[in-house]
Amino acid sequence: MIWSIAWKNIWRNKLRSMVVIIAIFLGMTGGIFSAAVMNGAAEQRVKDAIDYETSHIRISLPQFQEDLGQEFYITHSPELVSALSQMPWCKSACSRLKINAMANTAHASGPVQIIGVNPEEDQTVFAINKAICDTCGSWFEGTSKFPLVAGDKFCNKLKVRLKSKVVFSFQDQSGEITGSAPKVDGIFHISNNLFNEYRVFVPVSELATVTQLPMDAAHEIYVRLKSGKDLQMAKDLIQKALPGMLVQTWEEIDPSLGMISGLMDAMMMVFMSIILLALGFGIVNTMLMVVLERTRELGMLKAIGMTRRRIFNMIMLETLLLTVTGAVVGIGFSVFLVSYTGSTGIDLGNLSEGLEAAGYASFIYPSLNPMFFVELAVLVIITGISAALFPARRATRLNAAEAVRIEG
Amino acid sequence: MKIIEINHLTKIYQAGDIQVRALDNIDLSFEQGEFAAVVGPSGSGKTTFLNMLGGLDKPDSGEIKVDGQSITSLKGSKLVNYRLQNIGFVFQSYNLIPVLSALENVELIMHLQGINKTERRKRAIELLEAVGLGDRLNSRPSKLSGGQQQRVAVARALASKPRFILADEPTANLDSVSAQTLLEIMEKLNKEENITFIFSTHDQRVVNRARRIITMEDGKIKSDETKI
Repeated sequence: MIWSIAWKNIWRNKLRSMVVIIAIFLGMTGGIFSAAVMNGAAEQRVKDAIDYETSHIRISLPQFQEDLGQEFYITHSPELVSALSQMPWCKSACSRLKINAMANTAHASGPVQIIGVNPEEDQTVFAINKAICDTCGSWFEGTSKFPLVAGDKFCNKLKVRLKSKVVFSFQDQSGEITGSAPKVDGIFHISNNLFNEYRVFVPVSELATVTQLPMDAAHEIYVRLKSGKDLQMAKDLIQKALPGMLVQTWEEIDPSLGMISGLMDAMMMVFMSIILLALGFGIVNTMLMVVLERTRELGMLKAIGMTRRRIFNMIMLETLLLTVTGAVVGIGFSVFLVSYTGSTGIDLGNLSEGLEAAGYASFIYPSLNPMFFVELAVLVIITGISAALFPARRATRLNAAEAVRIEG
Repeated sequence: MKIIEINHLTKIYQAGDIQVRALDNIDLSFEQGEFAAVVGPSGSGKTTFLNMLGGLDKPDSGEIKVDGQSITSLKGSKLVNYRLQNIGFVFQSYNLIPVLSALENVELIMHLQGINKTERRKRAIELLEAVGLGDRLNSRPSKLSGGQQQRVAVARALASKPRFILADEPTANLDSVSAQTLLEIMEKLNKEENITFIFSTHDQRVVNRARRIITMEDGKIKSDETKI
């Protein structure tokens, strides 16, 4: 019967209850959707980083990562790539040469990192080939003798187009300044402007020739796993097999990527906590009004024999029902909204410059871990209980004799 | 048979530097089945007296015994339980719960007593029929007139099978016809069921029907007359 009274009491003042429920609904929906967008952006950032920049695992000589000295290369890399590819947890592996250079055209110049790749092998690990649009050339399928695949930012900066020649100058193996002049065969675009501006790709054989590095040399070997869950196990196995090498996971290659996930979780919780705190104060205010308005009635209940505990429970129940009603509607709608936009995506094209400068895609697929909703439901209940405590306590402290004589 | 015994009941309120003796050494007793009215001007102490009887306020000294048991020393849940099991309240402003129907309002007190749903519904219907509201069981208070609401309040007061009913100015907000009907019902219940009613009132209509009239003034019993 107390449940029934509590539920009926909520609808005693429909407008006020609806305002509270709508406030909770909007708070929940706004909070959850924002969290889903942030989470989706973070997940997309990590996925893009693995697809285009780091893969799952990178193997190199420790000295190479200190100053990118060309002389610190891995020998017999084809055998190593082949051996790694045989591993049951390995989807694919590839090797790369990497040198720093200066890029020059008739219009501009700038620093760049040239990455020598075996095109066939590389596209089994990375997806740069898929980041080239239909009218932007190809991933080393053109007729150019010395092809180059560069990012759109790089091309815009140096004012080059497909088939344009770019002159690179760099040091060879002996420390002499040398150069090459490949022609742009493909222009890629990924959601990381720094990558688009400072990374260019050439065939590894051409790069090895101009730098006088052995044909089987590689500065870095990348491993793509069948499942990201095997990351630590695969790293440990490789490290054990190659004790002198530096074996790094994507989180170690770019620590900021590793932090994104945890940071987003923390941010989402802080974000939701702030929303819930604000809602909590709104609920306290509403329920205090309810208690004040019903002073005479509560006094009567106390007079006729309702214990303080029952009065406390009744107000707690009313507050919780009000909160949970708003939360259920809000969470339910949010699940729909996140599912829908998670499949269609949200185009934040007008913010692409800023987002891509930070390495984030401008087309975001909101997503949330189902556990987030469970955690949120617990937080909502805690908020409801916390918000109910003060008004409920106030209700129990009414003086029945005085309360029943208040003019209604 | 005496059901209430009041000995040397005193209550003093502090109003600034002045002490107001709301109840000044009251000695009284009530028998089972009385239909008594406590009358007196405003500030004479009748509401304070009813609050003491109802366990809603504590005296500074003196004692109230109900069926031989002192209630002045009861505290917390024991006091609440005493009210729940022994006293029926009828308030001047009816004080029904607006979101509940007449039937649910009457049932509520039996729910608090832990009576099962079937039994409490049966009794609630009987009581509402007894006060002439058998056809308004499912009406909410807002759909009832003042007189009808007060009759629901009487049915609610009777629902817990109390030892006595305290009615604080029960007719103050009622028109003469409603007041007359209500008083007839209460008088009938008093006579037929031997239920004890104690009123605090200014209303001459109540005084006219009461068989015992206790007049208070300045916290003291000025007179205590029983009609023959």
